[in-house]
Amino acid sequence: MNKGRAVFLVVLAAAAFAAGWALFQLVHQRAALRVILGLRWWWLGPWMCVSLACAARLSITALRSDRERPSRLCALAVVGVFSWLGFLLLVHPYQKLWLELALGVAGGAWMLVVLILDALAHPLPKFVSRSGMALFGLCLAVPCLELGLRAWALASPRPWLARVSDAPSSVIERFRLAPGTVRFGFPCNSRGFYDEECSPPPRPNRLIAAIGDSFLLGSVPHAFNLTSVCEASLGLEVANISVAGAGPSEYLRLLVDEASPLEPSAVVVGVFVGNDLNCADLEAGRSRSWLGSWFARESSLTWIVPRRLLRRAAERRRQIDPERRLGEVPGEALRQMDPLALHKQMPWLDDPLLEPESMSREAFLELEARRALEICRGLPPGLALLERELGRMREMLGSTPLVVVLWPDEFQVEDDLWKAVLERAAIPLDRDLPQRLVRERLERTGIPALDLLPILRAIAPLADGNRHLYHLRDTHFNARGNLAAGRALARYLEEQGYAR
Amino acid sequence: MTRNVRLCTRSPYDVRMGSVERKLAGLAILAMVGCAKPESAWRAELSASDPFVRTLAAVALAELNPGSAQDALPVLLEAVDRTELRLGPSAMGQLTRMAPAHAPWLVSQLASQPFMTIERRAALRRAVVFAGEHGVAPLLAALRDGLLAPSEDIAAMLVEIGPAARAPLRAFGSGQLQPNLSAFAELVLARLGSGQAQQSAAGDSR
Repeated sequence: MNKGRAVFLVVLAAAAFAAGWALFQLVHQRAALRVILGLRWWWLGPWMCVSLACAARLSITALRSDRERPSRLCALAVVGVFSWLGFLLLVHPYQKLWLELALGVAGGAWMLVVLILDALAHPLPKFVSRSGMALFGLCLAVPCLELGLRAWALASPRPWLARVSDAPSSVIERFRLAPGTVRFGFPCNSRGFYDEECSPPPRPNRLIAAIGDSFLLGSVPHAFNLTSVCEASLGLEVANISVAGAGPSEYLRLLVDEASPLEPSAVVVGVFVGNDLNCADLEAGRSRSWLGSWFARESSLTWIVPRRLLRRAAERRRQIDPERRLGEVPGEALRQMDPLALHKQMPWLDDPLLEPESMSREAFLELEARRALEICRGLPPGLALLERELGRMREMLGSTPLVVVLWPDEFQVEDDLWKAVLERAAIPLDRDLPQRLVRERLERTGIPALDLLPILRAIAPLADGNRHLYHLRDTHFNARGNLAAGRALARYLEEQGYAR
Repeated sequence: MTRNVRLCTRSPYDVRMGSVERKLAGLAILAMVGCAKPESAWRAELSASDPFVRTLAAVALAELNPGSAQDALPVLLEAVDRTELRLGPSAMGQLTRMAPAHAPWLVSQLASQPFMTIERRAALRRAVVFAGEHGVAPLLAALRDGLLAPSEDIAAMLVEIGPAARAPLRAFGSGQLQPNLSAFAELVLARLGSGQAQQSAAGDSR
């Protein structure tokens, strides 16, 4: 038997096995699959039977005939890539069972294509074989693109190459600022955090470690950041250990890798209810296998990157100031900032009404409505994950106190925005539900929490009726919000005795 | 050897089945039909750590034996709003299917869980309404025991259940109750009456 025929027979056996296994699953689990798949169950069964019949016919002809057909293996690549893309497009979320059924369908499709190709006159007309080769090349390029993007993400981590299935440490490395990066004229420290260098232990004064995401990282000059405000109010060091894009799992990693070595006297974890309660709980039955990373939408870069680029392009078209980077807060890119001229360069530090917008109204409302739908309808999907990770942090810290600060979302503080969000959501929502749920769980586990929602709501509105504690259409605190949050945090730490 | 020589003399595309092949195919089909997962295996999977496997098992149990699959109910309710599984519609359907046999449990969930997603509440509500007369007694008992408040939503559920709710409601209203519950029963009965009147009016006009 020649080599080509042997390869064909091996692939044929694999395809037949895939179809047979899929048929077995369909029958074995029929009580559940008949309900879940509905009509699809009724055509999948016959399809697998046809696939097995194709496999029988092809194996007999392959054993009897010694003709080699390279088009058969080309068809395998084409059907394989189309099946992969089809799976990404049609099947979500990834489950092993769905993949097994899809492999059966793909195996059957390939065998059918081979039978059709065999039945066609040989040699194939030139234009057919040429277009077939072009399609084959194109199909080979798709997995190469995925591999290339993965290699790129591995070699040079970038936010737009991040995947949900990335491990916490990988997310941190991807989003952590490079040491020395200048934001609002202030250079990040040697660990890539938007703060001064921390004094190493033993130190004369106490140190409080503050862990968080972009909310704590802040989008204001360093002196206006809430950790700086808190530091000034308490008269002790508050280390800002924050990475944009972090979630509960990353907070735990930051505690282990960054905060613990500083031997803090207390640890503050900032939880932004807008995005920390809807993180994917990867440990709750979601696949992280290598195969899953190719077939799960949220892990496939071929699926993620084009959509991400399209969204960026759409937002760029809506953006008013084309000079600014997407999502950049006004003034963030300034390399040098004269403390005396600061208020002239950024007049909105004093008067939030002068603030320029960070994103278009459409994109902002879309984002806020999505968040409200995720967290104000009922139990948010990431609540269990948050509870679990905070519990682990508490266990890990032992006698060192752990304090949680709840940053509210802007729609919870600004009434006009809430009205717009409700209108967009078009279903009843419970505005304070996320805080109630988190507080209830924290009380149960005995972790003290500072809920900023009532504190921020108690702040008097400005002339236009809004409180202006967040940057204009940006979702993060502005200088006014940082001041209020920083003071409230300092007061709370003092009252609880963590600052003494 | 003789067979091989004979095979090679046939056309490669002549693949008619012999009697042995036909028997084998028949046996394979029979084996496939008989290989359905047994109820005990599904039941064991109800406690699997993977929520997808759990939900699949609950859906199957509800399909196989809706009357005695009480263990599947919490799993189905959990799956209703788990967006990452995307099995919500199936779970909701099965919950409804099981409702007549398990109405007291459904009502107890409605009464005991203050924090519930809109999807979960809707699924429970739909199931209780589907349970019809079986759902009325547990609803009224929960009202009487103060587990449920006499709200507009409960009134709407009883009205949706329809005439099957009338007799139990009359009995409920005539019992020794707090005044607000008596008024509630009267209100629902009035709506049920007017609903019937509207239906008959609509029938006359047709």
